[in-house]
Amino acid sequence: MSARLANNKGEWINRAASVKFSYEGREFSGFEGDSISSALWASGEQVLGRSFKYHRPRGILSLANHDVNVMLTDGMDTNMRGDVVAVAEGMALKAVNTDGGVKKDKSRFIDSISPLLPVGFYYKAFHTPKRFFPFWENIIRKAAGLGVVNFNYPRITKPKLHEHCDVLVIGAGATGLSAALEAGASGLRVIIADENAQAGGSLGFDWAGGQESSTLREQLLARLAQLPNVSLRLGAYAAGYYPDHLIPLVSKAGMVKVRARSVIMASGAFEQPPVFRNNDIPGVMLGSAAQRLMHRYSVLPFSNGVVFTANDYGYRVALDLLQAGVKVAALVDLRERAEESALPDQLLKRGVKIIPASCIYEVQANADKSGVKSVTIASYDSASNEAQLHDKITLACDGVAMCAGWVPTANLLYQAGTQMRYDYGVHQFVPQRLPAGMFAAGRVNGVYELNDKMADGVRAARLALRHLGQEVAEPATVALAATAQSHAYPIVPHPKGKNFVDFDEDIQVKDFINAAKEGFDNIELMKRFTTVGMGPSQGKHSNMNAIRILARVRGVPVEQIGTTTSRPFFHPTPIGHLAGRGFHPHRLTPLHDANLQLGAVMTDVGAWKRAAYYQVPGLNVAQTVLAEVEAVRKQAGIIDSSSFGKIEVHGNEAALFLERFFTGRYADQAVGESRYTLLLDEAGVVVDDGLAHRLDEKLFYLSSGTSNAAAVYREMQRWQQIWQLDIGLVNVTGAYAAINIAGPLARQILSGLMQGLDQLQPGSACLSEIAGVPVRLLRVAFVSDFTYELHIPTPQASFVWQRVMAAGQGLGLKPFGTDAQRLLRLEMGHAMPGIDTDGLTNPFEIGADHALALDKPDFIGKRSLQIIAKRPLKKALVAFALAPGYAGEIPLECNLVIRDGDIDGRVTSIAYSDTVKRVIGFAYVSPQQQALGTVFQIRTDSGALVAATVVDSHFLEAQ
Amino acid sequence: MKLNSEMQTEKLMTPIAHALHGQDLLWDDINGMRQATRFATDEIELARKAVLGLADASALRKFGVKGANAAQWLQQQGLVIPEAANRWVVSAAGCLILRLGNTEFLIEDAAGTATESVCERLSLAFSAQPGLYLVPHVEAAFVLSGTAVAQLFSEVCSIDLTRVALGGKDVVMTQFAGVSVVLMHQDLEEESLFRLWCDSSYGPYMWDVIAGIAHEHSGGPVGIGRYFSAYK
Repeated sequence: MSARLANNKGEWINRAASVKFSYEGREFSGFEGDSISSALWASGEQVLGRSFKYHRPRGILSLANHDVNVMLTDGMDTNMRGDVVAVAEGMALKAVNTDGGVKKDKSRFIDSISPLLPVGFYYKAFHTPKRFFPFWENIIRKAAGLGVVNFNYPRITKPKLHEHCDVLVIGAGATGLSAALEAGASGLRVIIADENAQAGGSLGFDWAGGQESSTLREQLLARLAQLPNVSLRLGAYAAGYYPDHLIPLVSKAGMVKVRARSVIMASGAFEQPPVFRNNDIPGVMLGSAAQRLMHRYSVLPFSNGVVFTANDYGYRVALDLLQAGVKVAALVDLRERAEESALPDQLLKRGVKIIPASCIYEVQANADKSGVKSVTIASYDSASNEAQLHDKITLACDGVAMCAGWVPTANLLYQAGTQMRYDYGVHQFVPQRLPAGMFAAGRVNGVYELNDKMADGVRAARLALRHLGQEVAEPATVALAATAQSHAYPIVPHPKGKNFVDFDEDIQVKDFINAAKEGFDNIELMKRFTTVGMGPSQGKHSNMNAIRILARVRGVPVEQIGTTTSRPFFHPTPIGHLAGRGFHPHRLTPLHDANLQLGAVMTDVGAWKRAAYYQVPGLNVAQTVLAEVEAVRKQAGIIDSSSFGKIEVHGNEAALFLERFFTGRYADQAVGESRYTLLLDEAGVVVDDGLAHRLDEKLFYLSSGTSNAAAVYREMQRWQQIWQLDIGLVNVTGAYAAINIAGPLARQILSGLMQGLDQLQPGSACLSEIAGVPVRLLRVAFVSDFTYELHIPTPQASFVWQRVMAAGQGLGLKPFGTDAQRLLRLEMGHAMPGIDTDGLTNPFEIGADHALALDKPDFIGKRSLQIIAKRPLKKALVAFALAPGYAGEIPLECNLVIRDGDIDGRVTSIAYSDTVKRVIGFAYVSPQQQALGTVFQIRTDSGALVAATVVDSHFLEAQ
Repeated sequence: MKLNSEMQTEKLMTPIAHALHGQDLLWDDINGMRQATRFATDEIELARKAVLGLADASALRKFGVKGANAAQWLQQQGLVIPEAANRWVVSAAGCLILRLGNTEFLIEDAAGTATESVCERLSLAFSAQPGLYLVPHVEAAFVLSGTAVAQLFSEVCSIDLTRVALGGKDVVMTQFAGVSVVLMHQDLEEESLFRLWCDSSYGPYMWDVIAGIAHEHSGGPVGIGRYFSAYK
C-alpha cells in the first residue's frame, strides 16, 4: 500500500529519482529527498523501531530529529535517526535495540513485565546478595546503550572551520528569514543557519488547509537570495553556545565554528505531546509530524484519524489533514473551547465532530500492536485533571495527531546565561534578560502569530544592528501571543499506566509520582532518578511535561520547579566532527634529515622530534645505546642538541636580571665564562636549570633543556614586565642549531676545523667559526668532561654537521641519541629537572645548595627557600647502585623505595651502565636514609624487593 | 657578531627541506640558500597558484632589531617605518618593513636584490648599543595565493582573516594549525598575495599542513618564481 500523495507544492522529494533500499531484510523504495521514516511510512511500514526499555513498537513521533526510538544502522553507521536522515540508494537498514528484528524482537516480552521494572528498580534490586551482583551487572550492561559501535569505521577527516560574521541567525523559519533580511539589508555579514534540509520552518508545513504560507516562504527566500552578504546554511544545527558568541554549526560535512558579533535566536519551539495511555502506538504522532509528512514528503500519516489537541494548533492540523484527504473522525479538545472561533467553524463546516472538554483516555492498538485500532474518548475534568469515564466512547481510527503545546528551543539561550521566566499567558518559558549581543524572536520568544513572528524577527535584527553600532531607530516591542499556546497540564492519568511522558526511556506518569514520593522531588534529583531527559533527545519532548507533573505533585507553580541544565551539544555530534583534521604541531631540527640518514629512530621530546638512538644492524636497542655510550667514553660521540632552549639577555642590566631570575651569582661573571643556572618558582620549587654564558659585558647567552625553553622565556618576559630593567630578551631557540661533540677525541676532531680550542677551559665560552660559519663554542660537561657544544645559525647547521662528521670519520666519531644522553649524564651524576624532580621538589632535596646564593638581595623563590630551610628535609635525592653483578629484574623509573613495608621514596632514574659495570640511578629516600653506604629496598613491578646502596653521585670517578 | 650577514652564505639550507620531496622537484640556490624552485610543470603550477598556491620564500634575506631605540635607529638608516605596531610598509627599495611590536621590527629584502640588499646594509651598519638588540631571523617564510586561501585560513586559524578584516597594512600575529605565525596581505606584481612566517623548526610541519589542504582544493606547491619574477 502506498500512502504517497499527489504532487504537493514545496515538497522536498524528487519524484524523478527513485531510491531503493532495504529495511529489516525487505526491499523498499522511496524518492530522493525522503527521510528513512517518510519512505517507510509511504510504503505502509509503521513499526520503525523499538523503545529502549520495554521494547514497545514505535513509529513516527515528531519528524523533527527527536524520534529517538527510530534509530537505525546500515552496518557502517549506527543510531541514524530515521526521521531526518535522508534515505539513500542501496541502504540496508536495521532497527537498533532489537533482538531478532523489529517485528519479532525477542525482548518485547519486557513490556508485559513492566510493572516489575519501575524507574530506579535497578538502584534497589541488585545490591544483595552481593555475590549475585556480577550476574546482574552483566545483564544490565548488555541491556544498556543503543546500537553497536563499529570498530572498523573508517577514519574520515572532517575539517573544523572557523567563520566570522556580524549577525548569526539561528533558525530559518518565518522569524529567522525576516531577521536575516532586515540585518542583511544593512550590508553586514549575516549567516542564517537551519538544521533542516530546506528553509522556511513551519511555513513549509503549517498551512491550516491553505497555501499562503508556502507562497510567503518562496517570497522570503527569493528576497534573501538577492542579498550576497547573507549566507544561508541548511542542514546545519547550532550545536552549542560558548563565550564571546562562539557557536559551532554542525552539518554532515563537519563543523564550522562561527564567531558572531551578535546572535539572533529564531529557533522556534518543539511541539509537546499530551500524555495518555498508549500515546506511543505507531500512528500516534505529533500534529506537526503529520503536517511534515504531508507537506514535506507528500505522505499520508493515516487515513482515518483523530486529532487530540489542547491548543488551537490542533485545529490547523485538522484542516491540513482534511486538505490531504484524511478523514478526521473527531477533534478532541482538552479545553472547553478554542481560543480562535474561526478555526472550529471551518472544521464544523467540513463535518468534523469537535468534542470539547474531553481527552483521549487511551488508544487501542491493533492485533500485532503495529498501529492504532481505535481510541477511547472521555470527558476531562480540568479541576481534578481526571478523565470522567461515565460518558466514554470509542472511535475506530488508524491514527492520532496530538497537540498539547510547545517548548521554546531555548537550549542555546540557557547556555548563554539567559534568564527565563514562565509566562502564564502563553504558558511557556520566555526570555526575561538576554546576554549582551543575544536576541530572541518568534516562538522561542513566546510570539506565535505569523505576522507577529515576522515583526519580531525584524525587531530582533534592529536590536542586533543597534548593538553593532548601526544607526537604527529603536524598534517597537512585539507582544507575546495573546492566547495560551500550550496547555497547563495536558496529562491524562490512567490506572494501567503506559501513558508515556518520556519516549526515550519509557517513563510513565506514575514513575514521576513515585519518584516524588520517594523524595526525589527536586527537578535535578528527579531527572537523575527517573532518567527523564537523559535519553538521546535530552528531554526535548519530555522535560516540560515532567516539570508540570512535578509542579502539580508538589503543589507549587511551574516557575518554582525550574528547568534542568541545558548543555551542548544540541544534537548528538559525531566524535569525528569534534576531532576534525588532526593538527599535531611538531618541531624538527635542521639536522632532522641528517639524523634519519644515519638511521635515527625518533622520539618526542616536548614538541621536538629528536633522535632516540641510531639503529645498527645486528644490535638491539639496549646494545645500541650502550655502544653509543661507549663511543663517547672511549672515542667521541656527536649529538644533535638543536632543541635546547637558547635565550639572549642583552643590555646594561643583563647581569642584574640574571641575579634576580636565577638562584646563582652572575654580576661578577667574567666575559667568556659559563655558569650554572637554577630557576625556581616563587614557592621555591625547582623549575629548570641550564647554563649562562657571558659572551659580552652586556650579553648573556642562556642554554637550557629542551622541554622548558618556551616556558622559561615566557617567565622571563613576565618578570621583565614587573622589573622593567634595561635589558632586551631574544628567544633564539629556533635561530641557532646546536651540536655536541663529546669524548676524549672530541678536541682532536674539532682541532682541524676551528681555532681557540686549546684556550677553552671547561666552563667557558667563546666565538669562533667553522669554514666561515660563525660558531658559539661552549665547553660544557653534561655528558662528558670532554664536551664541546657548537651553536650555529640554523640554516648552516647541516653544513657544519657534515664537516664535523667528516673530520671524525677516522677517529671513531659516532652519533648518539637521547637514550644514550640520559645514561651518559647519569654516569656523570647530573640530576635533571623534570626527570629527577617533580612539581614539589626544592633545591635542598636534590642537594643543589651549592647553586643558591642566599646572600643575594633577592631572587625568585628566595623567601620561600628561607622558610623551607628552617624546616626538616622531607626527602633527599640520592645516587644509588645495585650490587655488582646483579642479574635479577631491574627496577624501573617510578618504582617505589620501600622501608619497613611503607613507601619511603621512588626511583627517578635508573639504567645499566657498562662503563660503571653496575645498575645505577637516582632515587628519593627519607633524609635518614641518604648517608653513603645505606642500603634500601626498591620494589619492582613484579613485587620483588631489590637492594640498592647509596653511593657517591660521581659514578665515573668512583669507578 | 654580524650574525645576519654572515649567515647568508652558500651553506644555507631552506628550513622546510625535510618536507620537500617529489620527482618533479627542481633545486636551485637563491641568495645562497638551497631550495626547491619548481614542483611541477608550468601548466600545473599555474593552475595550483590560481586556486591555492604555496611557495617557499625562506631565501629572502631578513634582518631584525628590537629595543627602545630600534625605531630611531632604523630611521637613521634611512628607512621609513610603520607608524604603529602590527603594521607594515614597503621601502623605496621594495623591502618589507614589519613592525612586530612597539619596539621590534622585521625587515625582509625584496626579491632579486642580491647585490643591493637592505638587510645586508643594515647588518653591516649595526653595532651593539643601549636599547638596540639584534634579533636573528631565520624563519620559514611562505607565499600563499588563490581563490581558496580563505578556506585554508578558516581551517587553520580561529581569527577573522578575510581581506576586510585584515585591513590594508596589518601585520597579524596568530596561530596556524597550532603554531605561532606572522601574516600579512600584499598586492605585489599585480597579484594578491599572503605572506606568512613561522619558526624555522615548524617549517616542515607548516608546509605539510598547508600543502595537504591545498591539494584537497586542487592547489599545491609552486616555485617561488611564480610570485617573484626575479626568480623565474
